[in-house]
Amino acid sequence: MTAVLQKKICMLGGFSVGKTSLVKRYVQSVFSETYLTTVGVKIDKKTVDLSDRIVNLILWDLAGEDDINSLRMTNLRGAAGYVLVADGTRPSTLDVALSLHKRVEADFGPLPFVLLLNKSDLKEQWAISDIAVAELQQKGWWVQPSSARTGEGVEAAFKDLAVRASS
Amino acid sequence: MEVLPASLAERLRELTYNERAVAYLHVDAALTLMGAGGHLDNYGLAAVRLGEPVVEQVYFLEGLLPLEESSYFVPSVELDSGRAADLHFHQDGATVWVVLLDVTAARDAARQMQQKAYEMTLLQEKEVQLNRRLESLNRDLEAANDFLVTISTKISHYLAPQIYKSIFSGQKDVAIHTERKELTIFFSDIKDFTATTESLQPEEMTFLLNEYFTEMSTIALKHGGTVDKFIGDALVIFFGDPETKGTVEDARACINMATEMQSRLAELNVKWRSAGTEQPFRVRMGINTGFCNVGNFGSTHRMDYTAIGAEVNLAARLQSIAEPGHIVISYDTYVLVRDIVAARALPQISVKGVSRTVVPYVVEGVLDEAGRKIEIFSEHMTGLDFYLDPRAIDATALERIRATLRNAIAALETRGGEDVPAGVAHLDQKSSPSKVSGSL
Repeated sequence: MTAVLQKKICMLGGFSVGKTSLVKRYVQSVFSETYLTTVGVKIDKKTVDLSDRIVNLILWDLAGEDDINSLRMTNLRGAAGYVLVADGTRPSTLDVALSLHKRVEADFGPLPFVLLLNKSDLKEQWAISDIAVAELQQKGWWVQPSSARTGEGVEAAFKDLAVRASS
Repeated sequence: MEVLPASLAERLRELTYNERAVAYLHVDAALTLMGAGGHLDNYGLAAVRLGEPVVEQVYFLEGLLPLEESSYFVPSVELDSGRAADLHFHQDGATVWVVLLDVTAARDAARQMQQKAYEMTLLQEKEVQLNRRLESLNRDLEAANDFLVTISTKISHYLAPQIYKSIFSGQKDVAIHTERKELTIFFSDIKDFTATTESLQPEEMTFLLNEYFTEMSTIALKHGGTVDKFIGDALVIFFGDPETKGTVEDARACINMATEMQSRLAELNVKWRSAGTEQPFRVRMGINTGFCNVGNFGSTHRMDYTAIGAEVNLAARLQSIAEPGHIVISYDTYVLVRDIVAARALPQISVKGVSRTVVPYVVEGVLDEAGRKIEIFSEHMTGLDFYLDPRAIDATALERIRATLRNAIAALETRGGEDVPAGVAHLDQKSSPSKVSGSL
């Protein structure tokens, strides 16, 4: 029997970057145009088959970071990895993601993570430069554009994280 | 802690239990579920199995157990059932109690507030972004506009100002189109320009010619003339398009322009001579009034705004028969300006394309308001710069000038002339300096 592992993964990022939509796309393969803000945390489970092992990802979709809500670091307790999400049409959300990364690293040490530049379907409003992305990739970061609407980059990001968080 | 009265404590317990849908899980040190109770179904936990590992059944506990401290709290957790719960962890010896309290109503209320705040913030962000984009677009537009202004300013130097104005103000369409209009056309040419300037360096010649054209164009503009073109050292100007004050006024403006040009030329010659130019510029001028075709000629790729027709050729022809320093006008122009100029008829000529006989008139002077002829004297050659406009002489200087002129004549008489037969050695005072009325 293949061993079943269970890993807690946190979704982190500014508000309205699409964390909930990414989880919904990944877990239920659906997308809704309606924006519904997350309060507290919403927890979902997704099973990933990595051929040699099966991993249950316990996805903690945390409320977005903003002026009113700052991240409760205790919510990250026990996390095996995290998904940083920025909105590619709002450059300030990349700064939020980078600052969250720093704070998590300071409290929990290096954990596997991916950075998704979400809303890649909104090409005309795209506002994050290729240079900024290349600089992060240069540091060895897993950075990819993603779209909860089209599904671009979603599966791959979670799978990559599942591999790294469970190895 | 204050001990509440027993009945109140009981009521509170009841309230909390029912209103907050209290449920609990009891987990041992090996993370096995030892017990569970309360409103488990409210959280989708009704089917939990005692005696089995808890984290596999209650997956939201992943990573949280064993506890790191005696109590731990995760607020507002939305579970599969859709209900939101506060999770309270409480260490009890080697075991841990997990208490779930329903906060769905509070969560929904908070969500409503937060949703509004975020939507507002997003709108503000969008506004800022739109403003930035607008500003950047505006900057691009301004840059493009500046570029166009620079280019159009450059282009303007290749066009008569009136033409430039009428095109850039949108009055005139840039298309092959001509109109038949009555124009007064002016032609001028520098006599023996090549010979006059052959001793000059090309740069000096260019400078001289440019100064000449600049000065003449300035006078043309002042009088409302449209500078049509420069052909070598020749200048073509017309009056009557794109702006006109009527045929009579256009013709008078042209005559006034021509006389002012001759006058200015006399001054320029003095200046150029002192700068080292031996030969003065002596300019022939021809003026005619008649119907011409005026507008854009050429191809769709390259157009010229100009006037063409036999009447234009006639102006050129009149210029060619003018003595250097003189203005020759056609009868058709003369009848329009006879009250402001004194002119003498020349032998008639015929011009190809003009059916009528043409009587040229040489302008001899301008008339003052009382109709009196004012003579202006001008002569320029090697050894002589002479220009006399009696109107311009200050009364206090009259006697001094008379004396200078008498001395000058005396000097010329003493010089005599090797090539002049004896007896006619006296200078013919009537012809020299000549009344070069063209140089008014």
